[in-house]
Amino acid sequence: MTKKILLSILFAASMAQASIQELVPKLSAANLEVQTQAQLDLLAACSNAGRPGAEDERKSICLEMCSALKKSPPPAVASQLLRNLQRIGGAESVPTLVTMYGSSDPHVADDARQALAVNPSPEAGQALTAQLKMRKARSARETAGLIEALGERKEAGASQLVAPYAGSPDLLVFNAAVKALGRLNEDEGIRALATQRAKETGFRLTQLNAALLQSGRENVFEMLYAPSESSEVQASALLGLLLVQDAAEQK
Amino acid sequence: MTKKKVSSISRRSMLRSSAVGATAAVAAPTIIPASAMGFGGFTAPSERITFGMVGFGKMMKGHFSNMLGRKEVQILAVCDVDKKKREQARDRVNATYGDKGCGCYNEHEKIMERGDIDACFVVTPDHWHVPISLDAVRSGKDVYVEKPMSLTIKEGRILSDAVRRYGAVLQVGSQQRSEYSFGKAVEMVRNGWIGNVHTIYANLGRFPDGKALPEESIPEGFDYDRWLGPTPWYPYNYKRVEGNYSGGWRSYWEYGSRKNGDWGAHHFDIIQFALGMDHSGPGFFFPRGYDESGCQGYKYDDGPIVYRDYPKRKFNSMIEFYGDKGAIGVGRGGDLKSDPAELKNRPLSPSDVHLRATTSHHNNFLDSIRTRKRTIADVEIGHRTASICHLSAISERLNRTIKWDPATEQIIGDAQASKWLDRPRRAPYTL
Repeated sequence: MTKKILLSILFAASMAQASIQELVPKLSAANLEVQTQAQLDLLAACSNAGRPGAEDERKSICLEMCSALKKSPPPAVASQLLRNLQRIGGAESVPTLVTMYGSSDPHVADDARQALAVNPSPEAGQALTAQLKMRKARSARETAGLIEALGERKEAGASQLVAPYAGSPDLLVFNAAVKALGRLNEDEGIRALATQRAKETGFRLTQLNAALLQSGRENVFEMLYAPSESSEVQASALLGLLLVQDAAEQK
Repeated sequence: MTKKKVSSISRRSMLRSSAVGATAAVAAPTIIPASAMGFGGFTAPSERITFGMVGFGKMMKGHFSNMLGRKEVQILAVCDVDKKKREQARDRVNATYGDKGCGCYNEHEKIMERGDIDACFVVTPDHWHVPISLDAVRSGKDVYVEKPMSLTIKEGRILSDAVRRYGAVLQVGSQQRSEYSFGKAVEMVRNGWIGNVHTIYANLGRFPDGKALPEESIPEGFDYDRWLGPTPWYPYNYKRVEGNYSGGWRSYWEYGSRKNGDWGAHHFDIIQFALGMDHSGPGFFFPRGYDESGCQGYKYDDGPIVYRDYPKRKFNSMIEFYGDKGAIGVGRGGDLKSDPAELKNRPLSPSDVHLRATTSHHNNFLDSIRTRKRTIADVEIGHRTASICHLSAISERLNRTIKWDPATEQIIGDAQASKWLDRPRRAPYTL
């Protein structure tokens, strides 16, 4: 039985290998029809490998794509591989994704960041956290991307790291931090958002309010249901209070 | 002007709070006092609904002309990532009003910052629908957004919840709901005139595959990075960004669900309407080759099966409903057929369900802004219809069946398919 399973894994791996190895050069073919078909074939292969109950096949094709990425393919090919890893990549892909995040091509680097953002393994969250801690981001856009990724993952404990960015004068970083803190919905982050409100007006204040309102916290709704607030903020806070109280009564 | 505007906004704000206070339902004063409106066809400036218009592609033309021609509406700002398009739009607004007051922006956020704008039209490609609408709702504005309402199911849920939370009004541009023939067909199905519906055909057609394209230089004045927004980066090529009903950006999965979202957003919407499933949806989706029909489609739990592009339709209509007592075919341009043939001419009896569908999608939206009643293509309706578009697309792309729980909005037993409920977003574009 064990022999049978091993043989099937080896078979799946060899199939994936052949498939990816054949597809990679076509992804940068001068003939755009060939390139288009290769993209579709890669998607089909990854979709099939990602089907329920085919974990070995999924892992195998991901490792093959990682292997292809290590050979420094042209940016367009790297992006295609990374975008498929966004869909089916797991823990096995994380080391390669971290390497690719360091790519000198900003689009390839961001594809790798996106793949880390949606990778289900804890290692991906740790890698993103480490990148932000190192503060090696080369631009505001890159910093914003890392913050966004942590927010989208709802990476537990990330608020401490993200909170200082809520006061950033750079709009990209500010927006990313505010939205991430709202998603993370941790005490420290909510406090940071509430503190920052006093310093903001206009659309920056709108973003802060939106992040706070999505927290679902009664004390936040009470704070925002004030005559000095805009009608839409008051309305949202009022509904929040009603829902919170209704939920408490039902308990 | 500014002072009068404040009174208008305050009145609507009061209605917004009333609506939310009644748990965001429909309870709110429904009659505007006659004194609030002007006299002899003149609309007092304070009662005009002020708009920001976003996205000046093909679809905006009809909306723009319609709104510009209304006395009860004033366009205060236009926005497009193409400088040429937005400046042309600005000039047309200014020429119409005889002033130079129209704002003209590359970034939609500039519209959101303006407290004198009541509502927005969001007529961009699909991938910008939710981000802009969400910013509008959070800024206290009402929204008319083109169909399909969302790019992903997850972002559709976020927008639907936000609209309720903020007491906003949102109309999705599924204007078939406001066409007589579709309304009548829906009433015929709802009233059981063709019996128990078991099969439905929806004709969507197919786009050619979005092709790999060579890089071209970005035209001056075109903000390509912002056009792409949260979608994956590709080198610029005109064919990628082109507004074209037969292709262009609509061919690419990156910017929508292709025909599933393009025509599906219209026809699946009518099917939901007819089956009384506006706040729910089907439970099973399948790709081509699943059964002997050879068609892609989906099935409602204990309900009908829907086939896309079934070739042997009885009426050759856009949508066809088949029940155990008859059939109905319905399409645009007044197309309405039935079997038995006389069925379509039968008037509704007093005891029948009367949907009283509006015959103007725009009027319905403007009325809803004033009354705070929900629109005929409200946000949750738009979200549920778009969910069908996206799930059909997921099934098509993965080439396998998808089990869907409309109550929890989860795909059952398929982790990879579940990842398609949302899409990764390119930095710095986040929701």
